[in-house]
Amino acid sequence: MKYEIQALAPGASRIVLVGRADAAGVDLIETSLSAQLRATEGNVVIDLTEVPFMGSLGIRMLITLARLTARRSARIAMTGVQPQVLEVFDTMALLDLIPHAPDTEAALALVAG
Amino acid sequence: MKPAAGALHLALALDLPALSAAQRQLGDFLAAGGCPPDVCFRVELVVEEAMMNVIRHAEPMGATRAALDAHCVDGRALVAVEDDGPEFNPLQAAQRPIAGAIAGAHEGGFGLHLIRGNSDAARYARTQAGTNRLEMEFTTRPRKGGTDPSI
Repeated sequence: MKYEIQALAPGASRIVLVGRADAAGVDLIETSLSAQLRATEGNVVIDLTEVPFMGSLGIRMLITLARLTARRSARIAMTGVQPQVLEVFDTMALLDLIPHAPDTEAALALVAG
Repeated sequence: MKPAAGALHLALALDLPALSAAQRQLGDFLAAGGCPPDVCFRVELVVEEAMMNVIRHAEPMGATRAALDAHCVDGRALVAVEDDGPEFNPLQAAQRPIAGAIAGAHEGGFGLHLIRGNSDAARYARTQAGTNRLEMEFTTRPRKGGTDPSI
């Protein structure tokens, strides 16, 4: 699994995740991604367009990212969530923590409040 | 659950690469057996959660091995995860609202949300052989509810 953090707009960054977010995949990136997010300012949009599978460690990682973002009084949203992943998020009530938008512009609007 | 034709039995090393490889093998097996994609997805997710309990909590307390059994019947997946660690029933863990997680107060109870929310039935037994055995059933019917506790 890989990730990239991109400047998206003034005061907002995008985290692009790529690959299966299974146990080994998440273990590869979680520590470094959390550290980079701590050093990033502003709101966050997580792009999951290229994540076909999200396991329990992946969901926990998303909660960690939401927690880190909330601690600096910023907002977080997701976009590009594939249908099966979205169904699981809905079942878990994860969308109550991290709202989902159908595209990047809508996600930016969500985090802008 | 004995290995049989049309059944998958995997002995699992207690580490993440082995778990990921098993998840892929399990998903491929269920898909080949006729389980729909949503069932395969939820099985992989729940098995990851069950095995992470073993790797992170049971292995440091003496667990040495785990096994995974699966078969697919009429589009339903029947899956069992077994380990030789200390007695632990994941279905009796405290379940708290997930919304509390963002405040950083806890992550406890999250695993139970995952297992109950994504399986259609689940039961735990401490076997006579001294192993923990978690059996789960997954169906493709549209639903938003949790586990049927009646099995």
